Amino acid sequence: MKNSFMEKFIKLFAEALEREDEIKMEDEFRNYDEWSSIAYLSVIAMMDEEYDVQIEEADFKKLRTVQAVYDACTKE
Amino acid sequence: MILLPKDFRICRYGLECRLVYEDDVDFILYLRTNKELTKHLHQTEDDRNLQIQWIRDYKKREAEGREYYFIFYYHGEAVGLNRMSSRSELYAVSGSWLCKPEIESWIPIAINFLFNDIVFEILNIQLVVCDVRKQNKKVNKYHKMIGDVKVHESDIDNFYYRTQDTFIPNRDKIIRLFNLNEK
Repeated sequence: MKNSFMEKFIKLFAEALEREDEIKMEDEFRNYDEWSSIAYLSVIAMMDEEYDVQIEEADFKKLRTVQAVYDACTKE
Repeated sequence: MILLPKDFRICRYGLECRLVYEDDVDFILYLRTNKELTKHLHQTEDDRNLQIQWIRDYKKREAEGREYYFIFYYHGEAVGLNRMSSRSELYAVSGSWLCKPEIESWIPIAINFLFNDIVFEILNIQLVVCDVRKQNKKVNKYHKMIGDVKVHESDIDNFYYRTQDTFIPNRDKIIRLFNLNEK
């Protein structure tokens, strides 16, 4: 079940990717048609601006699913 | 207009950049005839001889400082292109930003940053104009992210202005996010 934090995150993630289709937490986002260098830039900018999370490229590469990005954004 | 030497070369953000030569014809054709990459660009005929002739004509414009077509390398492999045409000493149009598929995600951004660094820092251009197909959502988004100002739109295109004042603060923020100075 999605909470309001998760719903907000999915909305922001969809905006970053310019994705109109449904986003599921278990999705591997690099498989989306919308995934690109600009989407990547948008996502790390979103993580920085919305969640104050600065993530190194090497660490981002380890994130496979939408859930993993969410966890990176919301971990204390 | 500032003239770049024929053997112009610059390294930054882990990339190497130089002006294109006739020998780059196959790489240029490979990118320019990729249907997915060029669906929002002017189409190029898949004709090697025509492309060679185009490069020869371009080299004349390059020698006059009217146009510069850059090729970018990462670890010795050609990864992208970006081109500018000057309209005056202070004003240029940018285009043909194309990158090889399947490269690391930060490279296309770094290519465009290095291109803009050359335009602003070395060529001393004050205003860069870009037109982008409205359907090209990703690239329109990118222009907004680097601070470009939309100044006009037609039925099919958005037109953006870029100056150092709008570009540099956004470039520096993205350099930090991508760690580009450490590449």
